[in-house]
Amino acid sequence: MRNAWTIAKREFAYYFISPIAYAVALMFLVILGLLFFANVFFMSQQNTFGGGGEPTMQWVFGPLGSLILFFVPVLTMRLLSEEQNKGTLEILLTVPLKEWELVLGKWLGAWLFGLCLIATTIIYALILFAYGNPDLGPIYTGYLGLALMIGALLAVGVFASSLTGNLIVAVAFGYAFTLTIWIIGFISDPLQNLAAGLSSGRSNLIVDALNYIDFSGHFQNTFNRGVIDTSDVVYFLSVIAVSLFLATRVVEARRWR
Amino acid sequence: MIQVEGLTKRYGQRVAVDNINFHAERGEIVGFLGPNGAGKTTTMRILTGYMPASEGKAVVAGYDVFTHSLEARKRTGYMPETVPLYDDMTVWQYLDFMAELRQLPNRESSVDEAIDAVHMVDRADSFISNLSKGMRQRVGLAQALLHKPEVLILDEPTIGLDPAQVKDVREVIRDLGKERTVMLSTHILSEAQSLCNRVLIINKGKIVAEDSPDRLRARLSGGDRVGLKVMGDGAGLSDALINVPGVTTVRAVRDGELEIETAPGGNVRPELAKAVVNGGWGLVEMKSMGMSLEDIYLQLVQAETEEEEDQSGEAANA
Repeated sequence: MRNAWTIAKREFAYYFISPIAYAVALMFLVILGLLFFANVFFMSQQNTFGGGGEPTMQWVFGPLGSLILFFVPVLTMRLLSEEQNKGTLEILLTVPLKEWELVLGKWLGAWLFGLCLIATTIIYALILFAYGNPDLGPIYTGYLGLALMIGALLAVGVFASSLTGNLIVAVAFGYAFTLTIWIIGFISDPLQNLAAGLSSGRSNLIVDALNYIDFSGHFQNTFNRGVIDTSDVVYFLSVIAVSLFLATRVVEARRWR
Repeated sequence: MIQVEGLTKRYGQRVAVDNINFHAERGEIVGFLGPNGAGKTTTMRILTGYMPASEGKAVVAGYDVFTHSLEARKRTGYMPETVPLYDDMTVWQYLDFMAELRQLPNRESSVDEAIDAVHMVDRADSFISNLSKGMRQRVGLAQALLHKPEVLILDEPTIGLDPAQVKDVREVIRDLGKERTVMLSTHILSEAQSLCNRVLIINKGKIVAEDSPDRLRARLSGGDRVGLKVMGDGAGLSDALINVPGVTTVRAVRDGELEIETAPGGNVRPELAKAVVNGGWGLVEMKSMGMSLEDIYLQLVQAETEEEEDQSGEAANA
């Protein structure tokens, strides 16, 4: 466990040494800033004509929930991939370091950086509090949900990075995996119609399973509306556990090649 | 300290390491000598726990590298051939990171000592990306000896260095070899000759010879080789010398200089001198040349290859 923390510290520090962090932070803050401005402007006009409401951090969390999808693979691509193509993995695997410590440390370092990125949005919350009276509950649950969601996405990215020594392939795998679980719910609707037509209980099970695997549903409908559903927490934690477990097995398997 | 029994590694059909046996004791520097692709790196990777063997047993510092990998790794320092390092860190940061991974109790002093041992105190705060090949090599070495391991495994530690750096690194290794077990691979014969107590010559995954460099030379060369220099062009000298008992070949290198090979057993040098002086040639110089490790190595490696070709030829004929 101590070794995992050693690896995590190095990875976390690396984000700030390398330009990756600043490129990602730039993209993140510019887009989020524009969306925030647009939302606030729109709502203020609504209020002028009546029918608006109190400001809410959902204006930030909503787009943020989708935005992180685009930068997670960039943050994770080099984590295990670069160790493989530079050969540094050979040194890491010949010191007394267990594979799971390596993988956990890599993920932890990336997650801490992800939390820092998300934390920058607190500025928007402060702005909203300065001019309005937003509800605190959804802000807490929103941040909790985002922290879990980015942790899960990063874990999937770590797994993608374990598969190859090529950075481009690693980022491609990263997008492929994260986007797939993001949109898998899309096919549950047509399936649901099909199931309704056949009125077969078994098809409904598949629809439920697909909906459960679908990433987006676990944030936008619950955490972002101020609801903490245990099944969502369990979902994100299990995505993290399964992805890191798979990545560990891939690193272990490298020894046997 | 290192004990290897029946170690075999297969990559699919290809046998990289073929049933090798050897051991190395404390205070020994063992050289692993062989052409590229002979199985040196594979053997070292098995010993360091990076990859498992297909068959056989390897014990390092008292721990089996397959069943007690972590314990063995704790006591081993390893420098891979390519010296992979993190370019974004300074020398000090990198070694501190490695010391933390190894959970050393007094990290700072361990790092300082390792930097001192490879003479890099003045470059401790340089970024690794700015270091020359030789400097990187030294950082790799420092990393391997951070935790004062009982066993050091160095894969081609002097490759790509300039002569001054080679000398430097060899001195560091010689120092380390006094109280530890050092195993290094090389394909530079003079290095094995000057550095190692014992040399293992490996070819095509098999150990073809194992002994001290001096004894290897004595055992394999058998006869003596003598260089001779006389005044003038030495006309007719070859004919006179070939008749000296015990001389097998006489070869003129240039005017007045000859190389003579003798049969094993007996010292013919006094007879040679007598023949030269009696014939009226002015003897200027006479020296024993011995067979270099290089000759022995080529002989062994070629003999192996020819043998194999013979066998495959016979198989084809049959």
